[in-house]
Amino acid sequence: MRILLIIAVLIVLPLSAVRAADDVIAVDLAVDHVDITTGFTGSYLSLFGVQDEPGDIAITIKGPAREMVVRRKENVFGIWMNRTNMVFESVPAFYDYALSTDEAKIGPDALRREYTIGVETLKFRPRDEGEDAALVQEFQNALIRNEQAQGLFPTEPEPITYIDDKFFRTTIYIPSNVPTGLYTIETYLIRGGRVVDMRETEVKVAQVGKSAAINSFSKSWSFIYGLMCVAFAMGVGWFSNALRRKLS
Amino acid sequence: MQVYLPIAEMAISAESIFMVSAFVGFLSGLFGIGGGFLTTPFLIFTGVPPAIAVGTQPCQIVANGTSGVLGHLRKGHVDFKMGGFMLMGSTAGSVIGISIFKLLQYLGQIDFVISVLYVVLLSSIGTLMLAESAFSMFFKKKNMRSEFNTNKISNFKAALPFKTRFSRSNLYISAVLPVGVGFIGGILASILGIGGGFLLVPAMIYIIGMPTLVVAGTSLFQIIFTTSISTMLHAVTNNTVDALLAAILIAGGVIGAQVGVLFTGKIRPLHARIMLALLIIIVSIQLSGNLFIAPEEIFSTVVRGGH
Repeated sequence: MRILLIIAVLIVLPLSAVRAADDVIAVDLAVDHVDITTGFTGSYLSLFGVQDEPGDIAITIKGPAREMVVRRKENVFGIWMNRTNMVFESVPAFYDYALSTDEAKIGPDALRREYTIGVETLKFRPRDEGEDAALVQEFQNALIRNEQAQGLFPTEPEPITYIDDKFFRTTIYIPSNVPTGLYTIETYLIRGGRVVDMRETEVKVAQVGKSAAINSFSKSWSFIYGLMCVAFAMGVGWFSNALRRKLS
Repeated sequence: MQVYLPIAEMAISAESIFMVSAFVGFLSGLFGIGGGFLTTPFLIFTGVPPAIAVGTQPCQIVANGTSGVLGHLRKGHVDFKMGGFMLMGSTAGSVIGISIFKLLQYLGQIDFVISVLYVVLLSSIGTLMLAESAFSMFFKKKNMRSEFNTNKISNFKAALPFKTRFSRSNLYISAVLPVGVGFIGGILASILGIGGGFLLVPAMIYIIGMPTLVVAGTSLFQIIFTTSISTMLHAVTNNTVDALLAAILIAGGVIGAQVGVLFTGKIRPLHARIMLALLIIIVSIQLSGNLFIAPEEIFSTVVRGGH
């Protein structure tokens, strides 16, 4: 397995990652797209990299930005209903990160915040100005908690494993409930509390095949799509009635 | 088997959806109900976005309804004129209901309103049915309808304009009644993602005063059109009809209904009504938990402009 991986890295890296002389790290994905088919139940994304200099590696992956509404239920005369809400701008639809060392050792807090390494470093801006800071914090924490519950945000970092002292790899799980779009992967080489080098890679998550065909048809030909759904339902209904009469 | 739903953009367990729709289909074959009020909450419970559940469920009811109405049609148990008037009301009601749905979704109150409507409607109808069944069981009377029909409501009904003759139902009543019942049914059906049979049937018996024999066929006839329109509206305006989810629901529903029909002759109608009433009450109690029990997570998140 180990040998195979090294071979894979050796073949994949020189082919796709064009490296300038001063590049310290190079990374590449085993597959640069996630295909969602009818049988899609999630997918593993493998990232390989090589570092020419010592240092720790941190990798972050972010899905397309979305506007999220966070609502808080309150008890009104004994009934629980949504009362307060807050809209956050550009919340990544998916976030995960991988570290080659402990979270505490990777770098100072300021650096981790700057490069958003770790769930607690994520900061979302409320759409409306002048919201109470404590309330914003409470709603933001709730948003992260909800995303974690859906598997869209991690609860702890993924490990980065070294094949030898230069080659590293990590695996990130993309669950089935992720939205489609372009996902950005950032790889950082961190040494002495500074980012020495970084690389950006992209992964396209898209529906393909029958699933994609149904989705795009339902959007561009929504009237015909609706008619077909109704016609199909009536057809099956008629068929089942005919069958019942045959049998009885 | 996990199946990825192209419109809902998520994977679901096909067996569990199939099993539930087969079970609901069984009940619908047995009791002659659509069962949307059972399937929609279940879909939402399994994680299907409420908008997709409410948008897709009507498509399944079209299949169930078509299958059912053909049987009634052959026996001549469909009052087309009455159904047509109800349809006028329910078409208008559906269009308004879908606008209300969008507004509530925007305000973040759709789940709350759906829960409240279900709890209020199911608990009152379930209790009424149970009371009526218990009454007829203990007093060995056919039903309470004869007394119910001749009370004050008829004075009000008599005062309404646009008197029309419905020969199939043997009624000479105001056209406002079927249009009004259809209208209310259409609004509720499109907000709740149901056919509304469990509302229409009692309304047709108690408010319009139709003979029981033609009620089931006529309500189904009307429901097919309402749910077809509702499917079209959801597909065109919200893009929330998932064809794959609909296909699984239809397959389960059709198979379950066949089995259910086989059992109809084996259970006494009174017992069937009591069972259905208890089932409705249980579902309403279950759903009322959403409203009265403090949730573990008081925060919820949705994508703005998404499903």
